[in-house]
Formats: sequence, structure tokens, C-alpha cells
Amino acid sequence: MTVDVNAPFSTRVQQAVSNPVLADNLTRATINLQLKREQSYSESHGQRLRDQMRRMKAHTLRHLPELLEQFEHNVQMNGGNVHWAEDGEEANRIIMALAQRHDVRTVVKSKSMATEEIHLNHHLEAGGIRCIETDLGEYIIQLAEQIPSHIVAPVIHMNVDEISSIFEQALDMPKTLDPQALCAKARGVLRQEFLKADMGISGCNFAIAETGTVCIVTNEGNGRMVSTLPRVHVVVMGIEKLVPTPQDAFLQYQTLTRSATGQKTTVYLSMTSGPRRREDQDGPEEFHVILMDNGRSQMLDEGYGESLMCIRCGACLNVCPVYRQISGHAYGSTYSGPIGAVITPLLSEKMAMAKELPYASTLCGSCRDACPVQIDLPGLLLKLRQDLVEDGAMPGLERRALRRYAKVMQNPDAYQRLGGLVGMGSRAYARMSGGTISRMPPPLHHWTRTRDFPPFAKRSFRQQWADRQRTGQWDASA
Amino acid sequence: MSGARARILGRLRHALSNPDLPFPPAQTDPLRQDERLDVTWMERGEDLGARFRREFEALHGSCEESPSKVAARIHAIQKIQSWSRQAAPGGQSDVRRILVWPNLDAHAPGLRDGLENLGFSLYELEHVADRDERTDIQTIALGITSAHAAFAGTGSILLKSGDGQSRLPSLLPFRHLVLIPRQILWPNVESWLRHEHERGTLGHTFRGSANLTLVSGPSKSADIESKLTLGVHGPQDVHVILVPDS
Repeated sequence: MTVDVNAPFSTRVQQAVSNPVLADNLTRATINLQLKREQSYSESHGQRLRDQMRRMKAHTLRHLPELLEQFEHNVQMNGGNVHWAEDGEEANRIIMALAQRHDVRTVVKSKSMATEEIHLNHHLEAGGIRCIETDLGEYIIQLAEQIPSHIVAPVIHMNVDEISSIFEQALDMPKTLDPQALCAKARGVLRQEFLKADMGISGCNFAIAETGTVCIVTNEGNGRMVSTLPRVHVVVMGIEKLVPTPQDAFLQYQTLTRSATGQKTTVYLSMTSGPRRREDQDGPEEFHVILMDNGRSQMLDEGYGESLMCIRCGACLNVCPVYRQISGHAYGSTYSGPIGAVITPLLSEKMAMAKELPYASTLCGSCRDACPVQIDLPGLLLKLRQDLVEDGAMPGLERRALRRYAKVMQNPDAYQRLGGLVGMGSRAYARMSGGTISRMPPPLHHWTRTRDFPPFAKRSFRQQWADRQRTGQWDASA
Repeated sequence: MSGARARILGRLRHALSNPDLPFPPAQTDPLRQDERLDVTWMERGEDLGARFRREFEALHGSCEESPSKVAARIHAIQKIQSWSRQAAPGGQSDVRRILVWPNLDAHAPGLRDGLENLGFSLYELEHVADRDERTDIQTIALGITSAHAAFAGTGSILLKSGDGQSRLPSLLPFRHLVLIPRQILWPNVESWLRHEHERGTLGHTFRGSANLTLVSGPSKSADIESKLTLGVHGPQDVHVILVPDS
């Protein structure tokens, strides 16, 4: 069964955990990525690298307005164009207008979370423009009409058999379990799209303010194709993607590749500073950068600035015990895993839609330890939970229950009285059901669905403690 | 200027002016050049060429060190002949034509004549926006280029776009041959950045051309079940020939 990303959160999780293949696929793949990352960090000065990254990103964020102005100026000096977009809708409008001005029929895209975030493909297709995803994983996702389930490895939830079935259906290719054959087929089909596309749209892994350079990191080379072949190249980037200097760019590049896949470098790092120059034989004639806010400046304002340092490496997904069980689709949006649980509710206009996500975490802290920028993800999740409760996003019953609980906990007498009552009740209930409680009354019955609840001890700890103080003896039988 | 620009910058400035903002800290210093970390480094006395080769082969590329420029020409021709006898995918099966940069003879004198005498025809890009030229070159199976710099620690080459340094010969064909003079080989990318920074040329190097691309091995993917596949969009075979200085 596949996960229906439009279903409510609890349904999505149910669907995900009832598919045994899914957790297997995910656990195998994420452990593999986790080990590669750890190996690659142990070969370098891992902790110093992370410290330098954190410092560089914090510095960038502190000076973001000036760096954005510097970047804009330099892109323009390089012959490119800069557009600013408040939200996804405005970004989509700008791109649509560019496409219409250039009479674009086909767009080739390289992997971009930012354009997933704003549902660009959907928007362009509604305007009659074909959008072709060219990253192998994203292409498979597009053929299967799904959304990516991992920031770095979009089809991490599928095995080769499932992928082959998709190729059989969509591309009329005989079934094969050979990934290389599937890849060769995609190369042939996508090459024709590259050659005929009028516009290339890419995301941006990071951009250099000092030189006005947009950097795209890929292994397949589709980023190079998209930024080289079509007449027009459009870059969609979040405003937090800047780094100050080329040296900072390489610091982030090497941290990103090591964290994402354990590679020292990816196969390609494309650094583009504007459209083709007069003396060039190839390259796009026009170069556009869209600087998109879409909730980011507000995140900074509301105290979630730390999450704007994220470099989208996926390391937190790969170590997350919750992600491994429920898959990216259960998060129901573009960004999954711990970082997704933080930024989805903040980016989403419909905060209420994503209000369960901050609870999709055990707060175990593995994500913080894995994060190359050391973002305090558990801390941010806790802050989000607090903010959500303060905004009233909690069922009335739960809120009233917790308010009463708080009162009891602040009053020793009330606590003891209630403890005594609950203890007596639990023992009576257990006697009726044969020693242990295997089904608690609603609403607590959810808790006992998968485990028994032991009855309370006859005498409370406080009573036992008082006895011991009096007699000097410890009555273990109590 | 657009309204969005003013509003976005305004919101950022407003947020950053709040003295109680939990993040980022008020005092954040940029990294100084002298404290920057080398992420990869050379062992003491390690040979640059040997390291480059080891790293590049680990990335599924191939590499040979030629003892002289004459040897480089011979090595290049041998490699190209052996490749031309191997099958290339259907759409890119033209093994007799080669997409090249114009200045190859600087690195391997006589290479052009040698190849043409063997019946290969060399093709230099003129203006790829031209539809006919684009259709014409897509079947070519091999590209030959040089590079702007190369880095031993990671087995990477740096391509810089410009006149006579088109991007497509290293991208479109199924196979890519790279001639790299030893003098552009650096221990790692950090040492090259340092050098450019000290000379005051780093900004110009980045902005002086429309595109810089760092290439480390053949195009690959592990999207399908984390299994390695080569030649996804770019070249499947990349062969580097290291050429001595004189």
C-alpha cells in the first residue's frame, strides 16, 4: 500500500507502518548513508569542519540583508537578472511570465526542493507547459506521480522491482532488475528533452554573494545540462542559500557532500555567474535568479532562525528512528524527517495542516548529533510544540486535562490524595481483569492497545519511605 | 525596485534588530583565511600525480601519467582508438567524429594531425544555440578537452568556460578525454583557493567566465536501491592523461 500524502497524519503513518517493505527499504538505505557519512567525517577533521560550518552559516544569517544586496548587485553586473518573490505564488507567477515571454513549450528541471515547495510543475503544467524532471530519482517520482520521500534520495522508498514496473508502464520498457539498464533508458529519453527544451529551471545548493555565482551540486550531470543547453536558465532559491565568499562555498560544498552521501566531492559542482559571455560557444542567453522568501524571514523573526542554516543534506533523516519507520511521505509535504517536522509547519500557510509534525519525533537527539551545522532540532521541535499549544492548537479535552494535572502536581496533598485513589482504582480494575490491565478505559485505551499496564503498588513510595524512616527497615514486600 | 524586495529586506532587518533574537548570535565573525581548514590533504612527500590517479580511479575514472608530451599524444591516440572499437549507446554511436577544444596541440603536439590521419574528424563548436549544429553534434561519442586546474586530494578537475573552452565537449559525449598539464595540478582545492586569494585574482576567476565546473569522475547515480550506475547524463567513461611541463 502506498502512502496517501493528502490523508490526515495518523492515516499516513498507519499506511506507512503497515507496509513491511517500506521500513526495510528505508532502513537499509538510510543505514548505508549514515555509515558512509560517519566514515567520511572520520577521515577529515569532522568536528572542526562542523564548527566552521556553523560559524560561517551564523555569520551569513546575521548579515543576510547586506549579503542579499551584494549578491543581487553582482548577478546583475554579471549580466543576469534578479527577481524577488514574497511567496510561492509570486515565484510561480514570475516564472510563468518568463516562460510566456520566451514562448516556452518544454522546461527541463534539475532537482530542486524549492520548486517542490511551491509546486512549480503543477503551476506550469496548468499553463500548458511541459515540465520534465531530469534527476533520475525525481524522474522516477514524476513518472509514478508521487512526491519525493527524501531530500537527497527521492526514491529511497522504492526498490528496483517497483521502479522497473513504473518504466514498463510509462516508457514501454521490458521488465528488468538491472539498475544500469533502467538508467540507460532514462539517459536516452531525457537527452532528447534536454536538446529540445527552451528553458532550464534549477534550484541552488548555495550562492556566492561576493561573486554573484549560483552553485548546483549533482552526481548525474543534469544540473550542468539544465544550466547549459536551454536558451534561458532560471534559478529558484530560498533567501537563506547565500554564502559570503568562494572559500565559504567550498567549505559548504565539502560539508554537504560528506553529510549527504559520504562523498569527498560529488561528480559535478556547477558554478554559474550569469549568462554566456559574448566569446562563449555555448551556455544560456539569459540567466534569471528568483530570490524567494516564502516564510523564511518570518521564521527568523519568530525565533526559528537556526533552522535557516540547514543545507538540505538529509543527514538528520538518515539517522531518525521515526523517519525510518514512517517514510518521507508520512510527513505529507516536501520536507520530511526532523528538519521537515520543524520547517513544514513554519513554511506552510496552513499551519494547522502540519500541527502534528512537531510530535513526529522521539526527541532522541540523533539528528542534532548528525547535523553538519549542529542545528538543535530537538530544541526547535520543543519550541514549536510550545508555540502550537500557546496558539491553542490542542484539543480542548487535552488542554483541560493537562491544566488540572498541573494544578495537582503543584499541590502535595492533592497529589497524594489523587495517587491513593488512582492506585486503589487500578488494583480493583486489575483484579477484575486477572492481575494486569490489558485494556484501559477510554481515552487511555490507545496506550494499552500494544502493551499491558501493571496495577499500582499497594503502598506508595512516600508511605514506604516514611516506614523506613521510622523503623530503619526496608519492607520490600510492600 | 519591486515591493517584494523592500518587504523581504525590511522583515529581515526588523528581525535582526531585535536584541532578544535567539538566533543568530549578535557577534559572529567571518572565517579568516589563516584559520580555514583543509578538508582533504596530502601525506608528507606524497606524489601529486600518483595521488590524483588513485583518487580518480576510486571515482571510476581512469588516468595515466605520460612521461613526455610526445608520449601524451601516443597515449591519447591509443585510448581513442580503443574506445572507437567499443560500442556506445544507440543515440551516440558516432565514434569517428570528436568534439574538441581548439588548443589541444599545446598539450600533446601533433594530436590533431595524428587523429585526422587515422580518419577521425575533429569538430569545434561554433554556436550551439544553432538548431542544426545542436542536432548534428548529439550523436558524437567522444569529447576531448583540457582543464583550468586539477586537484589531487579529491581527484577533481576544474573546467572554466570561455572562448575555445566550450562546456559541451565534457558534457554531451558518452566519453571524455582530458589532457592535464602537470603544472595545473594542486594538492587540494583549498591550496588553489589560497593561492588565488593571495594573488587577488579569486574574484576575477569566478566572475571572469560564465561557468566554472568541478568534475570528479564519470557521471553517476545511486538513486535506484543505492546501487551505483554510471553515465546517467554526462560521460560514462572519463580518462585523464597527465602531461609533464615540458
